[in-house]
Amino acid sequence: MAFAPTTLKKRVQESEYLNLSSMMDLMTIILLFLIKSYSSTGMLIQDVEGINMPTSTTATSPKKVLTLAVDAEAVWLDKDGERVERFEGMDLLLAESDDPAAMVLPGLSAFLESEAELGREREQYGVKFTGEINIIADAQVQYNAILKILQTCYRAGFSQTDFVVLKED
Amino acid sequence: MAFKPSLKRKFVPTSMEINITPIMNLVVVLIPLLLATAEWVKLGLIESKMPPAGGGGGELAEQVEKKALNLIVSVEDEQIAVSLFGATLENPLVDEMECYHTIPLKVSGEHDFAALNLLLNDIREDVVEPGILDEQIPSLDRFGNPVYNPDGTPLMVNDYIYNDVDNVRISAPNNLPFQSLVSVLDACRVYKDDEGLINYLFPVPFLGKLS
Repeated sequence: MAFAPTTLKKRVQESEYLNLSSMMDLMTIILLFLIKSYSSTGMLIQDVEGINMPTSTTATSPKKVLTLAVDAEAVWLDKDGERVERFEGMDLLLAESDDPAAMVLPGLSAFLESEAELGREREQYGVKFTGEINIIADAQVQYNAILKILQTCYRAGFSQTDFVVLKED
Repeated sequence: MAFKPSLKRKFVPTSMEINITPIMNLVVVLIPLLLATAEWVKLGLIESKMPPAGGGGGELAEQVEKKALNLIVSVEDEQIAVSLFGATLENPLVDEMECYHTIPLKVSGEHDFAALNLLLNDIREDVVEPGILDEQIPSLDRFGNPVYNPDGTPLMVNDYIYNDVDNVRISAPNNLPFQSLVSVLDACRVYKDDEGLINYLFPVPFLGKLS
């Protein structure tokens, strides 16, 4: 004997799909934000952890050259945001003296002179030595320390000293 | 008599929705790409120089007929002093022109870098710009190489009666924080007026000690 047809309402098969409209809205906003912060050159210089750089209105962008980092403790050789070699400490950087020779930091000077010599040797292969050097320093580092680093760079043959700063919006 | 119902297939309304899946695919690819190339921290560069040692070289000897502006900005504990043509507090007049200016601290006790910027703009407009010579000279970059226009011709700039028209000597106390030094360098470099127009002031700073 056949069963009588069910009296329950039959389930209507509906086509189900994911509503992507809200996700599209979100994606559009993210896309616009990222396009705004897009940089064609990328980050040529990495900021150094623990160094609070000063802000400036400058429009010039930094170049990737030899970089020194100056924090509250010492002056360092910086490579891609990492302190790789320590030179003079802040005690020597801040020491006041009337002797002009005291304006040159011996450890940093020896390193820079060897780098300048290497740079000049590379000139025979067509790489011009420009004597450019970047200095990333904390906003609270004192002028005396900055002057000593500049003087040391200048004496070692790095005459184009540039400060890396945060651009103001 | 009623018409016979049409035998033509009836139009069934279907839900019309744009297929956004391909756009989503594109966006999903674009976002990681833009994330990788985004510049989260905007870094800038300020050029600085040390004062030339000795009493001048060949370059100065060639320009011996020109005058020296000798602009000095001294950041002191209680004020900022700006001097031209070697004027001092005791002898502020040079050719009956006031050439020694002081900018007191703000009420908050900070140095007034905005006032310094304004004063340097006045010096550029009132003292430097009237000293333009008739002929122009080729522009040189910081390494002494000529600068060219996009069409390949040398970029020509104004020649002045002063040989140090872009230079400013900055002296400061030993304990001046680096942020203040950067603010001084900013104030010396450009002046931006209310309409957003930029005037170049003295973009080549030489750093020295306060004597």
